[in-house]
Amino acid sequence: MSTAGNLTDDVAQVLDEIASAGDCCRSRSALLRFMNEDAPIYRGKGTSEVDRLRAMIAVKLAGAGLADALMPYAVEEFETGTSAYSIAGAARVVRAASVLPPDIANLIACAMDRISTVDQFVDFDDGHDVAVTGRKTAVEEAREALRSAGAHSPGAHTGCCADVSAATAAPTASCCGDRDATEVSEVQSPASSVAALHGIEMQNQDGACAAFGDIFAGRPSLIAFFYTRCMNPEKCSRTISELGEVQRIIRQLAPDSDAMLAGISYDPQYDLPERLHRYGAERGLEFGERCQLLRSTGAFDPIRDALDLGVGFGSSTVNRHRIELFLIDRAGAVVHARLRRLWQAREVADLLLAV
Amino acid sequence: MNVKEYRAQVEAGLSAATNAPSRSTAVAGADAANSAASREQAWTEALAQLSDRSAPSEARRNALQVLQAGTFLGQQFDPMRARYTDALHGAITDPDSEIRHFALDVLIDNKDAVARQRLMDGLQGKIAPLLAPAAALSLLARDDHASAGTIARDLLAKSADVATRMQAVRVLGSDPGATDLIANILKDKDEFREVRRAGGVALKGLNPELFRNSAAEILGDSSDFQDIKSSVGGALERSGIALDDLK
Repeated sequence: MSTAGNLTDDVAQVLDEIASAGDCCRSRSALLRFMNEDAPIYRGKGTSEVDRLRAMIAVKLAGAGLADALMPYAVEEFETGTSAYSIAGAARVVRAASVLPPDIANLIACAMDRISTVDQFVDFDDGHDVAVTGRKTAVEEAREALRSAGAHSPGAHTGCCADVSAATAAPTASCCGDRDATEVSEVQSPASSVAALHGIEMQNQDGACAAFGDIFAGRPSLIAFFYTRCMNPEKCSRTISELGEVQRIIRQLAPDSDAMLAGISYDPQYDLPERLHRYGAERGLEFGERCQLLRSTGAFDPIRDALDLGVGFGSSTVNRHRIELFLIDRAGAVVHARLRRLWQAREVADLLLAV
Repeated sequence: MNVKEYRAQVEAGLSAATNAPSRSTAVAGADAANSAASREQAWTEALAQLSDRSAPSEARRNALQVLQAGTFLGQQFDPMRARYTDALHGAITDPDSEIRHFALDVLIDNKDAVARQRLMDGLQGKIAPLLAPAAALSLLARDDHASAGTIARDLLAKSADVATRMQAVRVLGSDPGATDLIANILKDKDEFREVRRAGGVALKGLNPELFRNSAAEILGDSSDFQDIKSSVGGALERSGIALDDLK
């Protein structure tokens, strides 16, 4: 049974736009907006459908010559993706890319292991392909990517987008240097600030309310985003557990530090104080004035907009998000952001203490 | 095969293994390989049987049970997994309603996008429904991330079927945007009482504070139904809230 057939009009339109993109690198790289978590095509849809659609779009974009620019998304999927389609899509990206990150083989192998219990045949046929080749499962797609990665000669470099391809590379100004291409970096300094959020009312895990500015102003802060209904154990659950580890490291290294550690929910209407408290406590957080889980009592949009968050919503909750961690200085400027990739508590604790 | 028969079969197998005389490692290894090969063969045959719509229904249902039991064997079943999912995708339009329901049940538990979409399309009238609306909604209600809220709202507005309304409320029990709608259902004396009770459960999960207030209102309303009062009062007591505290 075709799983990709019967495309809805909005999906068919996006795939047509990608297929008909010209050769200009700039116009092609603009197509990367379809990989944004909050792209209109994903709004209101279920998580499993979003996973499938994003994979289909990634495959189409890779076919349009954007495989190298898509590498951060592929790496993200190999590191934390849990659906067969996500991994299969990432595998196709790897096979089309000209430059691969050094740790890609290990990431693919881990991903294959992770999806072995949900493996299924994947179908990326959108009706445009003249001939559909033999069907493969997601694990088979990943295995082919692994073979391709092994055959890759290190340092191969073709195409104008290749300079942003390596997931560990420093950000480079290039023709593909938009938001998504530059977030490849593990540490970056987005020129944003939380000043616009000072008046937003936040509520913590104990039900206490305070303005965002009163909670964070005048001290270095670490803000991680999460939601308690997240089904991906590699994302929110792990993020909050690591936040607890950061807390323990800071207590050891700098017991007098005034650094603030906070987790902010993407799903504030559902994540009421009791849920926040239980979720944090179960993951080792010791709540106090310097360590809190928070939700906005009003709309979440201002927070999402101020920090340009990578989160999309279905009809009742989040349908897709990336890993997002921000370090904020005493003046309220965002000085570091960790996006998409997993992070280590020790490294982040050191960064926070250096702010 | 029902649960009792399956349990008896597993117990018999365990008993035979426990009582078997001790053998050399090499012989045990060969047995294990043979056993793995015969298992794979049994699964392959079951897949063929399941996909053969001309085969007797009972045999096909047994094939489904054999395959689903295989999923509990973890890695040993991995080589069959994709083909099994494929077969389940085929079975969601099976003429045998039991097979159809079983396939959808397994797929929805696995957050399968195809099954979810087919159920939604059926509820929206885009395709022939795979299941009755209440049954389809009850499957969709298992997944907070299925985004079935819009359809549930629509059915709640249009359907007069008590089972459909109950399941629509269950779906909305994961949608904070439906909190007020559900609070109104809980208090609506013209609503089916089963639906009101489902609304109570949903509201308690979504917003315990609002549930507490709504429950207090119901308990203080002399014209409300006794069984509804018992339901909300019991829920409060189970949450450790004494009814006297509400007065």
